[in-house]
Amino acid sequence: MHEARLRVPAKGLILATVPLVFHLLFLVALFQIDRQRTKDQAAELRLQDLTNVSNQLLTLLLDIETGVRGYQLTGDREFAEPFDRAMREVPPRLERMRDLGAGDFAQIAASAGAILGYHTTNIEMMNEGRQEDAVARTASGMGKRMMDEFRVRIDAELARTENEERARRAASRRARNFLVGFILAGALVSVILAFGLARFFSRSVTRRLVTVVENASRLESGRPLMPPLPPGDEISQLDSAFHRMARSLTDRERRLREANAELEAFSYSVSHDLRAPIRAIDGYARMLHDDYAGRLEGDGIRFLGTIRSEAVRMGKLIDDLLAFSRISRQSIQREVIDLEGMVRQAFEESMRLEPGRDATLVTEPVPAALGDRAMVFQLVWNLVSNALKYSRPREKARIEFGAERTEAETVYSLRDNGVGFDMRYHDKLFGVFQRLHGNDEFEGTGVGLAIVQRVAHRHGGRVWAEGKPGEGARFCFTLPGRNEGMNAAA
Amino acid sequence: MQQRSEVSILLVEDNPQDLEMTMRALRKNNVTNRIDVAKDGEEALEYLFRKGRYEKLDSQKLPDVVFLDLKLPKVDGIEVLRQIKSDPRTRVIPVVVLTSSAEETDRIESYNLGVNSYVVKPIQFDSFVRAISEVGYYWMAVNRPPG
Repeated sequence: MHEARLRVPAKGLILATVPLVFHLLFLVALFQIDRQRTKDQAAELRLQDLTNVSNQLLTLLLDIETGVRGYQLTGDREFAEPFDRAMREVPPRLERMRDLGAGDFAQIAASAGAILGYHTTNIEMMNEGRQEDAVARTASGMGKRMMDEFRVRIDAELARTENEERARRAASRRARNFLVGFILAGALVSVILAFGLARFFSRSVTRRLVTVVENASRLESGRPLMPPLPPGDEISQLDSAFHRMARSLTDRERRLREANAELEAFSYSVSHDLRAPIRAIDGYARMLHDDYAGRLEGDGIRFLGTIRSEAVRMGKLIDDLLAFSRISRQSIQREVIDLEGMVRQAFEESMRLEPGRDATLVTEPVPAALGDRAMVFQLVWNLVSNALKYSRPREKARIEFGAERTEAETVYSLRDNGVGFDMRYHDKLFGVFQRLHGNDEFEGTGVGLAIVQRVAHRHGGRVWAEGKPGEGARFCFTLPGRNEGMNAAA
Repeated sequence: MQQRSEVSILLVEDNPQDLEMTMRALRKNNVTNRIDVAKDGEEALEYLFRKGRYEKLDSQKLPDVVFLDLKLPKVDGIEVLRQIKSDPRTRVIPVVVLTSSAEETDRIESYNLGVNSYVVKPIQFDSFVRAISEVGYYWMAVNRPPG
């Protein structure tokens, strides 16, 4: 489809140019019509002028004959006045005729000249007193013949000019009709063409835009893209950019998978190889204790006890670290989760591990969350056991769970009346192995809240904490319901 | 409950410390009177199928239970398990996987191959001893093999 090679601005330009070209043609046509009309008017005036001048000439020349006859009859020169007038006024009218472009001008002028010459001789004869000769000359009918000839020439000239004019007018009318027809038809064609082009371009643009939009959404959900658009305009460039993006995403995904596989192998060997020596340290210390306790003195037994408890603590660190790394590697299976129920379950299980605690859990119904059940349970479990742990110094521990719904998200929060923390260190709370309390104060590996944060991040959510030393703490988190943050390790 | 005359265990373990601790746990609780040890997967297979250095052993007297570590030199535990469970002569021998690995993939793979028990070795010695003796006692005294 060659049309696709046109860039989008070129299409716009074509759309604007097509009516413009037609408008220019219309202008030329209108100008042409106007010029034709001016020409028609000029031609009509010329015909009128020519008719007037011809009639004047005829009258002037006829009047000479009458004047000359009067002179011949009476001998009174007064009667020849029309002759004098004709001698004055005929030449400028002949000139006018020439200017009006009479076709037969030369003959007409010669004819008029002959009549004037003939009567000049008559007048001269009378002036010389040869009255009889003059009368005889007039009686010969010569003047009448000359006059008839002149009249015929003039009539012929007028008739010819009128014919010409009629033909010219017919041609002019035809031309005008053609131009008017052209304007009407052109306007119609211009409208249809502009409409058709706009529709064609916009459909080709829209169709391809739909492809691009579809590709964008496929890219988002990780599905394979539609076949690339043929190269050409900006839309094709956008489409090919999406294709390049998809390739680089696939590439990155592959690298991520490889990195995850390496991490898997690494944590496998951590879980296997690091646990064995720890088990041996504990085991041999125990065997030493069992078989040789009697021979140990003073602090010996206590030292052995420390060796064993430290070995067990290291084992716990490794297990926690593995749990933490597993959260980064596991894929997320989202389902609807009743967080209130989950918090209750975590609370009850935690309380079973610490019988004799006086702790109350207050919950309220909260909006359902969307997340991976096992992972979110890890989040909830760590927050609840955290709250219980740090409220241990309180005689009556009180934990409150609730949610606040804003326009954009639901913020779940868990509040305790424990020892709280200094907000200055709040960024340290969620770091791996970061702790705000010594192990002799509160036991722990510093992984629990890191797990909480990792679970929230993997669900595309956030987690934060507020607190004051001695006044309890409040942990907040969000779990977006939409399919955000579905990609692997955050 | 009838006690069998001679109960024997094949312990496949490459880590000498784990080996010593396991032996101590089994002996202390009098679960068995005979423990044979293989230090890698290859030796375990030679012992079970009476090949190589164990060619001359009585092929009728196979162990009553195999305690199998998964991460072993030469031939790994999963492969040993596969061969035990795919040979009619050894298929009936109960196999207990005793491993440090809590990885899900190992556990699933082992059960797919027909393992009889899967025990993650606890880090604490007391729990370790308890686990070993309980599993040993179950397979040697409580459980009745076919035939």
